[in-house]
Amino acid sequence: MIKLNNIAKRYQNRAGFTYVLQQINLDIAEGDFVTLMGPSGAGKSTLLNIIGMFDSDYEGEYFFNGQSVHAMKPKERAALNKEQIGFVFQQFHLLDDMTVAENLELPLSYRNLKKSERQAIVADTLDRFHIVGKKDLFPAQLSGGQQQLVAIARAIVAKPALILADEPTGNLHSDQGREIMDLFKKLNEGGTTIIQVTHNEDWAKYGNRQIMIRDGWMETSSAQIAQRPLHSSRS
Amino acid sequence: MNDLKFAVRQLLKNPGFTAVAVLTLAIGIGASLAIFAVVDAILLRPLPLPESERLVTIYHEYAKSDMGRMGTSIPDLYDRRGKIEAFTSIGAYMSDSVVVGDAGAGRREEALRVSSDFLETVGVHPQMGQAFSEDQMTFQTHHVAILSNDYWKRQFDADPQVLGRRVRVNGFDKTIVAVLPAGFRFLSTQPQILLPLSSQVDHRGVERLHSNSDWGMIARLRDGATLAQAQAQMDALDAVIQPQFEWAKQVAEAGYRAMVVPLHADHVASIRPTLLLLQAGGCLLLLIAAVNLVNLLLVRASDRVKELGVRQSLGASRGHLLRQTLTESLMLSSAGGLAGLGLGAIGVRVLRVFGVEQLPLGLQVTLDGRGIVVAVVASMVFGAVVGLALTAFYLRSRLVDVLQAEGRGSTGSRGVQRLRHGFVAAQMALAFVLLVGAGLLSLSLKRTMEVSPGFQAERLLVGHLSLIHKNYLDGAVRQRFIERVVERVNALPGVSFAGLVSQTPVVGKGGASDSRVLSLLDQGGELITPYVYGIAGDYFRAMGIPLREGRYFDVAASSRDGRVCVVDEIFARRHWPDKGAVGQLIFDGPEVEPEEKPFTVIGVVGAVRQTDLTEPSKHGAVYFRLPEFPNGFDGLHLVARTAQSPERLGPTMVKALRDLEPEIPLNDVRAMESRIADTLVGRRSPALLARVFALTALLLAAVGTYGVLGVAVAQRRREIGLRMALGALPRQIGRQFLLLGLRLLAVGSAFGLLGAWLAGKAMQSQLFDVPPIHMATFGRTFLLLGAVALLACLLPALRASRVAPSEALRSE
Repeated sequence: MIKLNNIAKRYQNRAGFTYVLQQINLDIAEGDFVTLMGPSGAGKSTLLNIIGMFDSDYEGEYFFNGQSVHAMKPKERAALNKEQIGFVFQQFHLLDDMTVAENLELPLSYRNLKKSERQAIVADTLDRFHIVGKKDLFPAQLSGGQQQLVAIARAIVAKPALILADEPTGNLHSDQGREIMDLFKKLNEGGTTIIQVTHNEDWAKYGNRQIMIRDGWMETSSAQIAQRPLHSSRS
Repeated sequence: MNDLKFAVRQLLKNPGFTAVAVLTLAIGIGASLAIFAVVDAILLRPLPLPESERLVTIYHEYAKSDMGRMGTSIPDLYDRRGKIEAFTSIGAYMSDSVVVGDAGAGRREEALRVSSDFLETVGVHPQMGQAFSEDQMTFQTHHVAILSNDYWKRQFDADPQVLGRRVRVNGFDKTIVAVLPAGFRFLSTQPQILLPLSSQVDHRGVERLHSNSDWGMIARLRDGATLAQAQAQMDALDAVIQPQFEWAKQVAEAGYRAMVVPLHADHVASIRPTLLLLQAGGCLLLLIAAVNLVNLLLVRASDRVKELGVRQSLGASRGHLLRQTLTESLMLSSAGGLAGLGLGAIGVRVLRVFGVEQLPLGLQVTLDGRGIVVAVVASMVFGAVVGLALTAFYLRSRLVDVLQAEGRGSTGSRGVQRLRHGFVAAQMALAFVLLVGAGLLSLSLKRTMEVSPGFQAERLLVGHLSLIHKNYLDGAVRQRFIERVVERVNALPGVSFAGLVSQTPVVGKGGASDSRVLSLLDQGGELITPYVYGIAGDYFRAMGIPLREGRYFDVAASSRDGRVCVVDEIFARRHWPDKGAVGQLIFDGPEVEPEEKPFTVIGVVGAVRQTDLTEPSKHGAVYFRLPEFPNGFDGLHLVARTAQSPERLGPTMVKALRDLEPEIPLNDVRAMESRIADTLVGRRSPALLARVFALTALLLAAVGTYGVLGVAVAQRRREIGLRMALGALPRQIGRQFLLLGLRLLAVGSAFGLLGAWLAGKAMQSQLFDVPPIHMATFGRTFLLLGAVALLACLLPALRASRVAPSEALRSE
């Protein structure tokens, strides 16, 4: 599903370039549940943003279902993102001024669906996530766990093939975190490919692959291991 | 969820923001709209006459004399008619007011005396009947009248058989020969009755040129003819006719020329600079409001960058974002536009209170479709531009940064901050310009009001009598009536002195004439044009005009005074600088006829302002007793000095005159002070409006400053907490924000100073006795703006100094 060849990302500063990602080579198959781990600042979220097509400023090749994402125009990339990817954020990013149902409907409203179709899908999703009773509440009226539940429901409402989750349990206590991870597991078992970033080793075990990233280098992967050079990453 | 619903929810979610934004825009649009309604009605909209752009007026200029601009005289109409190729027709007119109806039951109505070809010239055809014919233009044949449509409906119940019926005008019966179409207006008048502009046939020759020049003259340009052609043909005709005039040399020396100018432009020429100035003020206010609103929206946009980022991450395209942002900004601007329309309508009413109806064409001022379209289009364009700009602002933020940012503080980039600060400084600069402009106009008004008219205006009552009546055509009868009027009014309780005058100074149009001073005749040369007045009763004492030398007219034994006159000190100083004026002889007219008897100067009185408080006469004034008044008169002003409030005496005086002669009512009875106040409408209204604009601008600038600093404090809350945790004192934090406000004030004032200097220069012609750079006004403005800006900074600065470090750091 996803193939990354020699992906690198760097920033220019007075001293030259600072690399935040280097020589990332990665294959992710459909149905995988991948966990990206590593210390803060290692480049996990940057890699997730590249895979999520929010960031196009990188070197290397990125293929999604055989399509060359790295060569795409912004519009094509946005269309592919809209069609295939759902995103879950650590801060939930629910829109405060919209009810739960309206938040769920929002991604659908950008996808040329009729109002009746949208309402049917939202109703189905509310039911599936057992939050029908909360559909008219605003995010501020929900607990953190409930908010993340809604955020995940919003991420899958448009039926994406891939869910990217950036520390989805980072702002939740452990019981709530476990519920969310159970939900991800269930979605993955239903065929959705999931890539999550987490610091929590227990949550990492929910995935079938773990990838460790340090200082922009991919250290370990169940699929592939990149060699880390001895010298500094700065050039 | 549709964009409209979300936009409404967004606006309702922040009622404070929405109210301020809508009100800000409404104030800007309302103020501009109200002024635009005036500018449109007076300067832009064509006169309500067919093909009015082809109408011109002809006036006489005496550039080298004190007379300046004058109307035309009887012979001019007859000399020019049919002789200027560029005109299809020429007409003459004179505004008047007449008493219509039977004795004791008459009403004063606005009238227009017109020549036979007047209606053809203005392009108006009677709804029924015929326009006046040329043979109805003599005193023997002029017993005809044309009614306005309104008067016909009001007084004759729209009688279709009205033609041939009689109407009594000034005691004379007139036959109705026509009814005008509905809505007829000519320039600033809405006459109810048209009368022939009659004259004696033997007064139409060249020997009567330049005398009684009080006719207005209009002409219609032939299709394709230009103004320049008309002027050239007028000059050529004058080159033939003027030399035939007896005093052609003196007239030429006075700088005479007949000027042909567009009727509309000429009619509004005096008010044009003032209106343009006010429109500029209105536009400045709109600009301040727009800047303020953009700043408020920018502040809000910073808070909403994340929301728009999330939408993008959920699949919203640029088009989606644009549509949503446009929906919100258009909704806001529409609400502002609608509220602005309301404020504009109120503004037009307020302008009426300020006296806009007294301006030329002021009766036409309404908020019509054009104004509404302008307001709606302007608010829509503003909403669209702001929506586009905000979308660009949202899209320039990197989605990755937006989504990963922890708090809203991350969205307030330095560039955006600088932009907001720049907007606040710009607001202050614009407010500075408006404040200085208002200050200069107010000072100019104050100095105008401080000018002494040369008489005591307080406790002085003035009314108008028209002696155009069949019973008062004889001079002796008139004189007896005048004496009885003075006697009756003098006897009223509360009246200390009463008199009559052919024209009241300052508030009348003045009557410049030409008198010759005998003792200077030998030196010859110069044509002098003092203002001349015919007076009766105790006019000087009633007016409070001081005696400088000699004596006033002898009221008690007036008949023994003989051929005497009183001159004012300007006239006396000019002609007899080294000796007393009393006993000197003067003649009326530029040439002394051998058999003509001179007037002996018996007194010198203080000078009064003649036509305007701001314009002293160069040539002074000469006062004659009414029986000897060389200019003749048909109307008189009754002046009475009262011991009590003059308004309270008004009804008593009207009744006393009605008892004396019901056929000649006393009209327009008002205190002199109120009349003088009316002459200041051209200065007072702009000054008042400018003050309103300036104070609104000040308020908007304060709101803008407060808003930007408030946001700065909110966005830098974490930084403030950190600084305080590291040892900064609350007052140091507060000072930091105060200094920011003062820096903006300094920059704004510097640019404002430059703008105010340019504005002062542009306003120079509108200022009386005030230089364009008036340091005291500049200083006061700086202090006022500084005080308001300081207040606006104080609250955010205090809030900053009270941030609790623990809370600030935890909140992020």
